[in-house]
Amino acid sequence: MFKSLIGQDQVKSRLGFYANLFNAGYVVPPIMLNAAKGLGKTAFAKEFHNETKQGKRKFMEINCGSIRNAEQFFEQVFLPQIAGKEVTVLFDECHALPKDLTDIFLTAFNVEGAKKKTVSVAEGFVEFDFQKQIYLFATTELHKLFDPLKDRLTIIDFKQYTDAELVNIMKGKVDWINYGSGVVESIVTTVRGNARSAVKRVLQVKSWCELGKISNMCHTEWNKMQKKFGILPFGLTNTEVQILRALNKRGACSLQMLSAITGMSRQAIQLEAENNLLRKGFMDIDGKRKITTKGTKILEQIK
Amino acid sequence: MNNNTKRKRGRPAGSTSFARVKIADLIAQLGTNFTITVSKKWLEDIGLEVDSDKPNRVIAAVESEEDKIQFTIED
Repeated sequence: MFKSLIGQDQVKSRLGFYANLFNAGYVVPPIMLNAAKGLGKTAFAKEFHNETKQGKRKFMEINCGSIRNAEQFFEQVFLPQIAGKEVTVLFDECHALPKDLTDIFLTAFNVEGAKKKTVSVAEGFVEFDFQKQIYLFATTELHKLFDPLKDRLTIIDFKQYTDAELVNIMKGKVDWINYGSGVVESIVTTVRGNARSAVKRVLQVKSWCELGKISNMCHTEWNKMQKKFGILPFGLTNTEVQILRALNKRGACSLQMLSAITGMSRQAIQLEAENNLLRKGFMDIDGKRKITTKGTKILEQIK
Repeated sequence: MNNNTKRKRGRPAGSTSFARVKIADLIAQLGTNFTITVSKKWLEDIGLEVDSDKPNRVIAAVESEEDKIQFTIED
């Protein structure tokens, strides 16, 4: 099972169990796929659907950010597309579900193994048929989900990919490129542990090779490509480099100072730039922001 | 040294530009054919579209794209 996907063995094991359960005629509890962006929630949900696919079973992906209220959901989506049908439904970005729909889901998914659940909505009733439908949820922000709803879901957590897994993802996506010794490992350091970024990067490499009519990616080609695309070591962004340079030049800085230097808001710095620098060990916060020895070395490399 | 205090400029603290009024009171006072000025943003928010050449004529109620739930279905 899940042979087309690389890594996330624990996720595969748990989803595989529920796929077998469904295929044996039992009901699958509503499942929450919890992961940071780019770790493959949707890819695993689709593969789960493939593993449970029987007959004309459909896969439906709903962007919860576009649902305004429960009435709109039942009118536009549930009654015409889900009710009575064999479908696997993925509620993506489910932390954005509207309150009234969350309240209905509290009743609908309080099933404890029941095969069907009828819920009153407005002036009528709707039926959730768990023998026909599988309900998956996905979010990057589990903490924003209403706790009682969280309690009703079986939560499956993803983890960061290792460099070796990312190498396999890249090689599996485009298999005709021959990489020189250590080249693909060097490329992988620029994708920030993210499977989606790894796929995007290998597609860039593919375009580069196609345009240059080459199938061998050596260090020289990779260096040329890095310059052309502005790919920095460790996949750093220009903003992150700007922050490192400011810290290197001025010494320890406050967040306010960094905000003034970069022109970014304090929140943008915290959410978009600092996390990666801290994770990579290029920056440290001890009251004020400071560049680390590792950060200084990477700056020298960038020069 | 100039000790004259500067005259305060700008909007006095606490004052606002808008007032809430019942539409029935407006109609009672002005009648149904009176042209009033409303913000384009507010018109958009309530889903109305106006002809810019004849700004007092509502030509159609529009269904906003925001009213559509985004979803995909595949086999």
